Amino acid sequence: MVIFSQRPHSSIHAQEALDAALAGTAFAEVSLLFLGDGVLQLLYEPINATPQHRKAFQRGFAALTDYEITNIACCADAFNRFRLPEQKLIIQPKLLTPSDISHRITHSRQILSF
Amino acid sequence: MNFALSIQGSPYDSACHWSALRFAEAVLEAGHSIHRIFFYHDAVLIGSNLQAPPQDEVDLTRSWQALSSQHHLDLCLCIASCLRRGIINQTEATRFEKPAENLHIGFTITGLGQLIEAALVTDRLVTFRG
Repeated sequence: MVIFSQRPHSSIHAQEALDAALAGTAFAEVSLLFLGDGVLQLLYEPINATPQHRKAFQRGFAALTDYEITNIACCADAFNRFRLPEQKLIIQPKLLTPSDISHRITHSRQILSF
Repeated sequence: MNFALSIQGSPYDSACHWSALRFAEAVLEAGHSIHRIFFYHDAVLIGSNLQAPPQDEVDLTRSWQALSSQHHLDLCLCIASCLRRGIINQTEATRFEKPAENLHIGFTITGLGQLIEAALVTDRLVTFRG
């Protein structure tokens, strides 16, 4: 499981989380979990809105299904706190309660957290 | 138990390298094994052979190399992190037409797959952040 917990352009971690997820598919089944500020990565971002010092890596989310990454979930509390509009999401995640999240983390073979 | 370590903090800005080094020593002393040590993000700066810390301070690069030589540890640096920070071996220096290489002996530049493989084949992946 790869956990995304950083907002999109605050650091390189968000970009590297996606790299790790895609690389991980060569070894095992990969799932994604967006927590806290990380849920902001789910928002579609127009190309010209990307800061110049950052790569517009979020377009890579569109390739997830090509890599057979379909298990994508996010924290429902964070999702609702940011009032993310569903029509502006890059991908549709499954919304999880804190106990769902705890269950998933407990039952994951390995977790890479970014 | 078989361990893998992921080290992510800058060598001399944070305590994470020192903590990881002491952890690795303790793990080996207790009879466990370490499959791989993976340096990621700013931690790859440890692989430069151009560092010259003051003589009365710990030389972390040499400390890792000494531990690696003694226990045959696999010291891997993330290639994407390395290239962004100017840590390159001869192959990359040639590929990117750079005037020199600076990878310290004992370290290897590898892909992110080495971290994932290590996470899957070991009992514990322990991460040290800055």
